[in-house]
Amino acid sequence: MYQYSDFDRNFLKRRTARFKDQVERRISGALTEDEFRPLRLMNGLYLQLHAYMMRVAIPYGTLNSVQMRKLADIADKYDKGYGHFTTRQNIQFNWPKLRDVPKILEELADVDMHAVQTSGACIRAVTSDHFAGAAADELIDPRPTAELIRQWSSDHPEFAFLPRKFKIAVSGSENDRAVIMAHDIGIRVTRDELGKTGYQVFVGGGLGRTPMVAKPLREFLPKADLLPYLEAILQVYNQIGRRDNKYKARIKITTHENTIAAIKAKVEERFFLQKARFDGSDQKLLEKIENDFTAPEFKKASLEDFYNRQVIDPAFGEFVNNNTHQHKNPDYTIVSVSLKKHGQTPGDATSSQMRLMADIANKFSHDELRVSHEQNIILPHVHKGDVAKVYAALGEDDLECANIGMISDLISCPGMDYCTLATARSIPVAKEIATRFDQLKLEQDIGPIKLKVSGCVNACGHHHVGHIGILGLEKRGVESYQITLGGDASETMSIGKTLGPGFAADEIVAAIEKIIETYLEQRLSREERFLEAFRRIGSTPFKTALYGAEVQKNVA
Amino acid sequence: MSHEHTRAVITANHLLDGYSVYLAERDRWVAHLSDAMQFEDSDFAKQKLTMVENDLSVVGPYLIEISIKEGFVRPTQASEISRVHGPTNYKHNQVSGGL
Repeated sequence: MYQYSDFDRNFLKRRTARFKDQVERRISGALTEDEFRPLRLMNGLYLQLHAYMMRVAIPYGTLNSVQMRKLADIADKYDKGYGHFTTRQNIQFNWPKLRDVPKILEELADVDMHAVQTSGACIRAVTSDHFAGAAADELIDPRPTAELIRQWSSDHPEFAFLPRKFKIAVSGSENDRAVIMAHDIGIRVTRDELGKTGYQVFVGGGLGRTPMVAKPLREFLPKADLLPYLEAILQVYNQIGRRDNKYKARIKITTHENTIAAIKAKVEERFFLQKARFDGSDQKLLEKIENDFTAPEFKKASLEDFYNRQVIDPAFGEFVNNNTHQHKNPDYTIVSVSLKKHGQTPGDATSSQMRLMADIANKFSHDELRVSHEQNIILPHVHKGDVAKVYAALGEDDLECANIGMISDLISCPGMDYCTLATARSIPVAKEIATRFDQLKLEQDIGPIKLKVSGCVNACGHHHVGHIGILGLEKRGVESYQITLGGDASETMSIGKTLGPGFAADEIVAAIEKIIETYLEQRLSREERFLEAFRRIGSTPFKTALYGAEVQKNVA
Repeated sequence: MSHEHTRAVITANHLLDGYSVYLAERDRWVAHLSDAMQFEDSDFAKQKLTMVENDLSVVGPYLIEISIKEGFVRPTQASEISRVHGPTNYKHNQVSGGL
């Protein structure tokens, strides 16, 4: 993991002291809310429906056990004993008190954490593949690049007041687990035909009210050119991105309105000038960062227990089957810890669960944890001989649920239970769907599927790219849920299409059940996954199942 | 048949904990909607809102519509109903400690 320097620590110390003073001035009345609002947002403090909400950055989703324990302590000391892991690989605390926030920031800084750039029209916390540095299919570890971008973008004076927020994601594998094509800039670390490291750069992706798949901007960017190229993109966006209408201010709209060819020409022109201003010190910094991300010292031990136990203990076998992923070291595996036990709030973890995961990571995963954008916790380096011990330990606090990739492993934004922007609740819908399919005992039969729920058009629940997406809206004071089908968050990204009129809160679970029944009837075999079946048969059978042939004709 | 009618109430979030509060008689902020001052006259409500807009103990006061039926007071907008009852996934005691 990246090791903070004295520079980083002093920066956070000064920043926290400054915010402490701002909070005191707000409470004393020296600052009005209008003056204070941008200052608190710059420090990750939002005001939600019921209380303040504090968003803490977990850059590229990477944590060590000390940091995870600190999050647990904060949850106990300053919140209500739990935290919510988000689709941005961050954690949100839903009940901090204003006076406590500077103390929370001080405690976070003690373990090299902060809430900088988790809000505002700036470059937000960079995200990445939650299996980075561990997955067998990885070409190049994306974390050093992500860390370089984090350092470069932190408090970057030129990009502190962009037309709108700006999100960058980095992946180092052909299999995209970081949803890079739904980001303002998506970066894939890759190699050219000569084996030289570089980047494939995409621009203009995003979800929200106008979902768009990012377009390729550069097929291969040499490694040394990354920062000047990113600066060129940001400078072009800063100059021509719209500031007159916040719904048209993201770079996806800039790209759409100006065309990718025009954006590319402007970026290349700017890049030519920008490149000359870099003297190579960024590459020296990158080399230093790369040294912080060397692979852990993998141990050699017996694998016998791993294989034998799967035979004698079917529940453990199911856990291995669903919750582990192939590691680059064949003696190791990546374990995903589900924060979606049936009926639980997706992404929530209690302080005791956080401490347990920290202990397990410390003992069995080379002290590393990751937060996935799918709202689960990853133990990236577990020796196969230890998986049974990890499984047993997780079971001590309800964390052993073997549903990763299944229908109950669904993404859900906080929705109208917490969020001021939401137009409908999403958590109850997510919980009911998970509970229902658990009752039906159909999850294993359905197989891997991505279901994603958002409580408004801003799409924090990524519904556009769910194989099944649910969008909660308000229609005349009543919650209504629209279904989209055919979305895909992977490297073959597609935006789901709306199926038809929405469903009431008490109808939506039954509607999802009908969609799944239709899939099970229509699939060619158990191996044909939901998305494959949908792409083959289209939406008509699903529409007929939900609305009937007659109604469907009228809707059309 | 019971009669249902609508009125306005002024709400905000408390500065210190961010919890929902409602404006009551004598310009006090209270935790429960049922204790809030109800406005029949929208001009008077707007006038009152202007008067409390700079109250430093709360954040962002605004008007909401409530309906009253058989003595029960309930906001008409879903997000305001959520602010009254709190999140549905946990049972928290949500009375503002700042009052």
